[in-house]
Amino acid sequence: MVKSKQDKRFELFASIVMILVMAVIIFPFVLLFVSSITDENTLLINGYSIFPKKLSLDAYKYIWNSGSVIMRAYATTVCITLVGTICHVAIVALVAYPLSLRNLPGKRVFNFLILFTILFHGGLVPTYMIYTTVLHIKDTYLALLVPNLLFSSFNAIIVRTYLRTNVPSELYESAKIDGASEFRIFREIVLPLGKPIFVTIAVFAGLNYWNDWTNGLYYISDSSKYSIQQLLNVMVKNIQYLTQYGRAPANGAIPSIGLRMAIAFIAMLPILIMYPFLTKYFEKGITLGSVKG
Amino acid sequence: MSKNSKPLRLRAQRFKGYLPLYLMMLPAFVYLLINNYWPMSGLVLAFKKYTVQGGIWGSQWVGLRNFQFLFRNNETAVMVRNTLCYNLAFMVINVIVGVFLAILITEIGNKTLRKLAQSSVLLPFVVSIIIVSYMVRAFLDADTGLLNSLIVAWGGKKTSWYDTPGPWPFILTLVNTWKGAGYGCILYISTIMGIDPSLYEVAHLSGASKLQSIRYVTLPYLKPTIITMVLLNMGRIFNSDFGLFFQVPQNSGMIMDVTQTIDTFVYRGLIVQPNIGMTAAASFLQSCIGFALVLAFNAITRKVSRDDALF
Amino acid sequence: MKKVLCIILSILMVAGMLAGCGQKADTKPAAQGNAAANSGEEPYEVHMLIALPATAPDSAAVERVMNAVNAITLPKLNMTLKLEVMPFSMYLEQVPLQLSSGASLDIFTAISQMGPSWVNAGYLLDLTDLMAEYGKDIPGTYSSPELATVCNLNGYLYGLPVHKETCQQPTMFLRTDILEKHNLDVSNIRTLADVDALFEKVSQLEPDMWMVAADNTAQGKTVEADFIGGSTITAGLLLNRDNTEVVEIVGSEEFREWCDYHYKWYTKGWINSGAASDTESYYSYIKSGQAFSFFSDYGHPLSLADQQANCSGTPLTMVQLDTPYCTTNSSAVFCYSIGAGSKDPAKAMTMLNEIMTSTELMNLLNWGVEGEDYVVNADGLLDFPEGKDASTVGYHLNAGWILPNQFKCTPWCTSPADIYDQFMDYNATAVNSPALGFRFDPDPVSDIVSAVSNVRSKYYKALIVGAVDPAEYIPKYLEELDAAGNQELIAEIQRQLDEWLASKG
Repeated sequence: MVKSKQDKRFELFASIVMILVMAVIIFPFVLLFVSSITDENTLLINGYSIFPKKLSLDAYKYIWNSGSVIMRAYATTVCITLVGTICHVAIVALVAYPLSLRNLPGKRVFNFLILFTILFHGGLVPTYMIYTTVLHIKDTYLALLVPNLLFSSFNAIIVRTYLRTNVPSELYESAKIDGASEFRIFREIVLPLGKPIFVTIAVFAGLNYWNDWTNGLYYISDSSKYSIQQLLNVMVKNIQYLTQYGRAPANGAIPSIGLRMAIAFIAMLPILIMYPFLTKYFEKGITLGSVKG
Repeated sequence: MSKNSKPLRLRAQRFKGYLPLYLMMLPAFVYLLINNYWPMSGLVLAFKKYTVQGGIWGSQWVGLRNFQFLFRNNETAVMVRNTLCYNLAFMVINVIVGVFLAILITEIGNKTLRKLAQSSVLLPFVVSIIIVSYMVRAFLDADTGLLNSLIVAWGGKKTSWYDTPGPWPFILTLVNTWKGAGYGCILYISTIMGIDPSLYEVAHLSGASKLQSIRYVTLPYLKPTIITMVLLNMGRIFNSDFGLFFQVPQNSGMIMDVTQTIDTFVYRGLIVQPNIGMTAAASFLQSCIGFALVLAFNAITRKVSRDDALF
Repeated sequence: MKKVLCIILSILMVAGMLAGCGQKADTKPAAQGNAAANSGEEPYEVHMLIALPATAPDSAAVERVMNAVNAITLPKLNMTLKLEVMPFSMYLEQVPLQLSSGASLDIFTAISQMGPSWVNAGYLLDLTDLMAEYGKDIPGTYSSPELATVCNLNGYLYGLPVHKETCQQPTMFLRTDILEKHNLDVSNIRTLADVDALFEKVSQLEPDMWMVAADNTAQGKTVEADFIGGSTITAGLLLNRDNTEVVEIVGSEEFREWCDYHYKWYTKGWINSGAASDTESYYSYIKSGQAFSFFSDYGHPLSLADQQANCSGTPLTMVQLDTPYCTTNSSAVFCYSIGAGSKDPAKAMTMLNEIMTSTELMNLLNWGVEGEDYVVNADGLLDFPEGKDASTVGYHLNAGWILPNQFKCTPWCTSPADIYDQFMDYNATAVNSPALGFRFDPDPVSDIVSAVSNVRSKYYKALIVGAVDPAEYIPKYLEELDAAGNQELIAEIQRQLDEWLASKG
């Protein structure tokens, strides 16, 4: 394809705007990181700055001193995120494909049943009762995996919409004429053609698992099963309550602002590391999309 | 309908054909049953005074008493106005910004830049709203914030931003866009990536400019996703992101006229008197309004373009 | 539309049936527990939960303490202790949830102020009869027996307060280095006017310093008032009035005086300009050297040491501005309660009685196991074993003020040997509020309480740190309070208080 002058100008415009947008997005992260390595008193006296007068790693040292707990929590979160994301995408994909078909009997009812769960919630107390007194998942790894995160009605509807728009129904029909079973159609048409959306959903689900601390907060009290977010959350809150009740422990000095920032940064770090790999998958989505034509 | 008049054997055969599809849906619905529908009995707590001894069904009915606190004060109008206006603004802005960025990103020629742009729009989605509130604080803090440092450096006067209501509608919208637009953007990108490239070629060959092919190919393909997003957001129009309206403004009182939403009102009102019934009542009311709106908009969508309706 | 309705109805019915099953399943075990009470039975396991505003010790350390406790309680009471130490951040979420689902919490730290809500929801048992029968020794452990019954709602005794200072006292802490540098004497400072004069002087000597690090989370600290409505309601009793009339404290002269001075200091730049919404604790500003002083409610014997520790060891001078006063809130921030899901409340109370009267058990709970977590030094006080410190011994709660009865503990070597006697003496100097022991039940006016609480969050913080002009905002605040139904609320508090006073005789 030959690009016209106008198209080239449009591309240039797109690049420039995106560079500006990226700057706006990334700047707060830089500020966050720099303040996490700024000396606490310097920060309080001179204020936040990208070029602080005095650096200090106290906050990271404080976190490091809590030792193996952190590593354990990281490991827990990584495992839960991996398992959870795979299950999540599988369940969503399996329910979204039948719902995307135009002729499935009872489709409206099923769609409605899914939508209804987005609108109405029973509330925390009954959910808690069922998970603890009937299913007994309190203080097990299942508590980090199952409640609220294993499936998302929202994602199911998004994927359904995508499959309906982007996969031509003739493909299904011709496959059926060739005698393919529904599971084969799912495997050989839906999975490859839906790849861009599945990767997207996987990213959403993965981030939700990674960032979740509420399940831990409600269902986990055994500190060896903390997720990283829960552990960091507990650390921040503990400092807050210590000062609030006016009784510091004997071991004294705790960096508070810096620690909050450092904790925020540590929680994000693995995700930042994983980013290049994720984008690779996005690109793959594009090429597959062009293969199908 | 004609379905009923068909012979039984045919119907059974037809069902057999669909059986694998129903099986595929089974895990999701089992999960919904456990995680969502079973606890939904808790909705009745909105009309009850909950006690442990009575449990969900045995507790005493109190009629609409749990709902009273939402209406018995002059804050009601303010919090309803704020919740509705912010949500509508967020909905419109997030769609526009999301689509705009998605189209720009897919149009970037340089592959590295495109990759970078794609990952950075999702970056804010990674951080929790509490961390966002630290970031905002780093900018706006009266004594140590970056903004005041700049203002002072340029010879201006310090402003105590957290006590000045004026800029807050703008600040909250900005924060919400910064944090939330990436989510929709990524969805739109994946939809655009799924568009059959031959369509663009056809458009190109028939002499369409870039803008025209966006107008006639890309946007129509994005329409169903956009409609879905809008419909789903309609259902949550009376809910608000508690973190955004409570943590980000640091629970500051002087700006409450522009930051109070239904959720922050409920939270502040029940600190000293946690009450399961009143909490349930507020969320029940929010859900009902959202539900009514979704039903209405879904009905309209069905009339206009049947395929895009949610159910 | 009809179809939709049908679906909703059937969903609700299915959900209802399922929930019904769930209910049955969890009520069964509770019924069995009370049946047997003979000897020769299985030892009863008491589930005890301690909330801790710090990181909880790891499970091995807790296990060690549990075993040591059981070695005492198993032969003596035929009971074992299942101890859980929970960080405060999780406690606030998990414990109300556990209570609401009827989990078996035998003995646990409760927040006294939550009492009315928790009692109304049936979370907590009435301890009156249980204590009379199985906890006979408990009232004697308090400095005055009426303290034992402070946590009650209309006679429903829902908790036994922890043992600590029972009173609060308007106090000020000033940086000793500044005082010494300029040779200032602060021993005669009593009123806000004295404080103001001091600030005038110091601000000239140290022009860049904030005179006071304001605290937006507390009530006005020099206002001696009993906020009997709870922490988000500002109606209460003014203690120097010698009557029991419930008034709006925001409308009082004392509150106005506090706000006026702070407004003056704020406009002069003597208070950090972000004070109204600051989430940073004021200790940080003392630590960083930006601020000169702060107000506090704590004037008790350990307060100076505590505050210095909070400021990372910055030397401070304590000035007690007024007499200590004792209210329901100050005497019982935390208490120990028995959950409604307890399988055997009698045994829970027996265990609590044992813990509150035993030095051995209290030392175990607070300081851990002798030899591993602490050693006894030559003075009979406790110290870390050779070469260890708080972070390496494993179990060192050092949080007597949130444990059942720290006065039974052996003091740590950093405190005076008679520290607990000092506390008892200090408590005895306090002026009691006439409403000591009264707790307001917000249930009949819960909707007004929520409206009033919202009005408070709008104005209160900005007023007490001086960020806004009291002449303009206090009348505005009062007006909005009245519009939210404050007069009705005050009348209800007064009615409950009068009833309570009458019942007391």
